[in-house]
Amino acid sequence: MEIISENYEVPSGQKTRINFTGQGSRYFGIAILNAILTILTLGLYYPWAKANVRKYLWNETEIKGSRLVFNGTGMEMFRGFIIAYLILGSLYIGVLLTQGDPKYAFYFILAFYLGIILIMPLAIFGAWRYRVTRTSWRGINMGFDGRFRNFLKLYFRNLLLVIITFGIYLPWFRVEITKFLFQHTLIGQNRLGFKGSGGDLFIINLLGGILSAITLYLYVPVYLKDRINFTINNAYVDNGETKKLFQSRLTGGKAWSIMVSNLLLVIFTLGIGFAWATIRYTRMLLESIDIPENLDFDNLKQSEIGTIDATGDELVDILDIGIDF
Amino acid sequence: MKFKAKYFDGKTSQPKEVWLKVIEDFELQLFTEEYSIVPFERWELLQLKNESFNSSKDLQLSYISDGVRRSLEIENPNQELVNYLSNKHSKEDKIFAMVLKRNSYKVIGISVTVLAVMIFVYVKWVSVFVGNTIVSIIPLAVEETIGDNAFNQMNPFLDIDTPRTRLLQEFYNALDFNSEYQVSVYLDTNKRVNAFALPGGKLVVYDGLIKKTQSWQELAALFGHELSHVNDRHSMRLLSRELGNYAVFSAITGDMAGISSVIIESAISLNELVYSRTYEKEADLNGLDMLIENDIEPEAMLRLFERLLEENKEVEEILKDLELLSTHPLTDNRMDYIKDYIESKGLLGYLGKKNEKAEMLWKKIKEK
Repeated sequence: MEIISENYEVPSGQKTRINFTGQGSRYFGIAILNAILTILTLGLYYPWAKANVRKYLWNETEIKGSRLVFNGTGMEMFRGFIIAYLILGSLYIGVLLTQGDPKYAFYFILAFYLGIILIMPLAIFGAWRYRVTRTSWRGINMGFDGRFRNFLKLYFRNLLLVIITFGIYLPWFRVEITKFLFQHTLIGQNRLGFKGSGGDLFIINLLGGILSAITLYLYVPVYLKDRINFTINNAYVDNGETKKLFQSRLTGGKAWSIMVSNLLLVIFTLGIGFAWATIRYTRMLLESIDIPENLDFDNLKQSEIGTIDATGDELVDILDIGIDF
Repeated sequence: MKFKAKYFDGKTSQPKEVWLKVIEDFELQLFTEEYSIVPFERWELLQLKNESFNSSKDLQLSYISDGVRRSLEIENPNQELVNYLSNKHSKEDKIFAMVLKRNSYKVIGISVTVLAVMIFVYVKWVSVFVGNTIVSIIPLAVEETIGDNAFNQMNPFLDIDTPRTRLLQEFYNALDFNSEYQVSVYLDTNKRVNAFALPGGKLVVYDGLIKKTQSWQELAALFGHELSHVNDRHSMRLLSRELGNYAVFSAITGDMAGISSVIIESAISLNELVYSRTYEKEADLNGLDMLIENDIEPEAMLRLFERLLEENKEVEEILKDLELLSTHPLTDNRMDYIKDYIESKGLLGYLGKKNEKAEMLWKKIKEK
């Protein structure tokens, strides 16, 4: 796809903002019950706990007076959770048992690293696809029409460049992945897109790294803000006629005060404040986004691919899991 | 009584204002106007799905008919509908609804307390039980493999004296201690006054410690102690418990902040120290039993610790102030309970049988 920069328009006039109504105390209540049930079930409740948290956060995210809905279930995630644990667990045990025996150890270690390398793209692709296709707003499901085969090709082609360049290519790698995931994400009949360049991200990382080191990490929140804004400001909505950019209003000062106060909040409450910290962070992130007006909120149409099991990509289906990063 | 809601037909995001009426225990009727008589859709209450989860604002419902999911956003649901939905909740939702409905700090306070008690119970008893259960199903062969692997990894850093190791193995065999494991002993030329046991039966003794022993019985006491670690599978128990703790706590804190998991983990490792002191004591007493069973002078164990005390005087002084942090019971303390134990068996001053072979071998090992 040839992209000319003039095609993008910055939002003007009526801006749509996200209203996040989450409350630390409600979130805390959910997290505590999740923790109790997870302990009682020796960890098996975890996927359901995760579904609860997502349902809650999605429910508190309001756009134009309507809230997001998370349609995923604990059962779906449980399947992925078990598969992922079985694969990694058996490889790990294999490595552990054969360490002393050079004959088999080599193969197991090889299989272990291959497993990890193979699971990474599956996890990135699966997690994004899962979240997107399980999100709906006003009854319209978000859709995803990327093929795993294509993603895998893109992933390994770029990974090779990362290896050859000793990691310097990493920002470009990230941008390529973001582009793929965004360009295959549908909101009704609209398509998301991403126009960021690896070079810009490289400079953000370089500056962020240097300044963070010089300022004894005081610069870290500002660096993170730059990365967040890089993602938001380069994302766009393509409605078939126009491409309009999202815009972030997040400032360094705001990011700094929220992140530093969150850190103190968590430390001084011995971790109990994490619920309030999560809510404050999510609010900061969501409420700084301006959604472009070419997304016609009242006339989104349910896309064919929007329905949940239409992609038919079985390989990924078994790993349709919400792995977090 | 009818009440207002926003309706979405599942094909477009176009909101439509509708009026709802609940027919008790049966269906939800949707009308286009407040005074319409004929509903344009009827939703079976049983098939209704509540999409809201503890959210602070309106209620969201969905209903699938003809393969299309329709949905409703209801700002002020009537009591009848709310009651119906709360009765229909699954058990799990009910627990959440019950606790979260009022959202009061009292409820949260109680939950926090319950959680704290559960974590305490878990760390104190459940994890011990889980660890022991895991250990009891791990076959000996697996344990030996893990021990062998650990030994192979350490090997480059060890300096094994092969001829004296052979003598030490003969010495160990002459003691005729009882173990399900195939025990191999190694002598390292290091000057440190120390020894350690690996799972599956590999025992490594440093020359520094051998040089300190004043009788073959003391060296036998050392083997008694180390062999008890192996027989009672202490390292495997610690390992499985740590794995269990890690799995549970990372599962709980997975979606939360990294910091709280760090705090919890450091609390666990503090606890781990106390556990390993329990294991040390267990090894001391079981080692004593082993001496007694084999008719070897039990007080040799006492003297062994005297040697250790001489060596570690300075360290011990510091540790005294930090008793909580030490992995081994303090030697003073240790000697007290060892003495008490021998006394309780009525064996103070008992010299045991002679073992000329062991004595001869011990002399040989020490002299070289």
